Amino acid sequence: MKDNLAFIDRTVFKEGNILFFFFLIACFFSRLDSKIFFIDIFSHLGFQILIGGILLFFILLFLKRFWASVICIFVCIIFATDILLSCSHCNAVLKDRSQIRNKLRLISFNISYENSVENFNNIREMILSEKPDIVQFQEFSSQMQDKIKTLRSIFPYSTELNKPKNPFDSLILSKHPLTNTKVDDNHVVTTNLILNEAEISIVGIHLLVGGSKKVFNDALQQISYLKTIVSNTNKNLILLGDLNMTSTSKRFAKFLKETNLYTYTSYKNITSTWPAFLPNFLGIQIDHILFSNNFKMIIKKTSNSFGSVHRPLIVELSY
Amino acid sequence: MKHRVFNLIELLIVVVIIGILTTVGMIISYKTDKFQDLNKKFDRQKEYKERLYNQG
Repeated sequence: MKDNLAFIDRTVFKEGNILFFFFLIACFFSRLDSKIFFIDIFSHLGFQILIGGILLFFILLFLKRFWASVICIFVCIIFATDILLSCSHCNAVLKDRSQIRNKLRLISFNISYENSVENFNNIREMILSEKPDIVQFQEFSSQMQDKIKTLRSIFPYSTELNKPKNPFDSLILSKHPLTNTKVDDNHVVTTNLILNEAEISIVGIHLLVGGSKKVFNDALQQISYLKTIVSNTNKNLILLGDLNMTSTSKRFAKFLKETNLYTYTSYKNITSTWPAFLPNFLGIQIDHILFSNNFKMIIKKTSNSFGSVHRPLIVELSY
Repeated sequence: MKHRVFNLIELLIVVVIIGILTTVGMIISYKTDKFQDLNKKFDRQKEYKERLYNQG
């Protein structure tokens, strides 16, 4: 018994080992596609876990734990490689500007339900300066919706702008005609964008985030519903909104693969959209603009949050 | 003694990280429930308005 306790004391409570074991568990949880909400959180924090692992490497070096620091950096390398290789649909970027044919500029902005309407003037200024073709708003109050209506002169087409919206619904405004708009119970709005005589299917969605088992299951149901919508469309498609997933998550990579949608993620130019009160490099990107394989991303950036807990995501696509 | 203090700091870091994750989860859960209540209220209002509209 005494020997066992001494062994536990030597292994678990050796300087740096508690953090080291926690790091290993976090890495393991992060690479699972788990249906348990608490484990699922780790999968979205892959980049933060990696930064933590690198910091831990220096702490272990400082403590003169040579072998532990070697294992730590080795795990970091495997972990980073797995994150980079797991999302094969996260590299749809157009670097050669001479290949740009037509451009489409989009903004996806989760305004936050509690955001004061006084911030709308700044939001409007941002939209006017960015000159998007399509803007998607989510989590807006009815007072904010009244303010959004003032954008009608710039964006004459919309997905039922005058109808009252639920907090998780999306509102899409467009400079180009929208047809066959459908808003359904899963907080999904589908519409067809008519652009240069071609039709592009636009899907706006706010995926629920599971703080409880029930809501998490609802979010998984929404994802399978989205898969059905995407597989039933034979047109080019753009899916945008607050997906409550990051590109380091296995669930996100699997979703892209199954729907054959693409995006671009850069770990050099980080575009975190949540939470807006943290610096860009500490946040995560949970708002996304995904597209079918005829599109390529030219620009991806974020702007100020204007009182929201999200930053707006601004994307320019070539098609 | 120094060794035990370091252990305590390590445990504290782990507890703080788990605490932040749990708190964020609870806040999100609370907000989602609130929004879903708003959804239900909104649907009831819509039904009521539709009923009024059909009546007259």
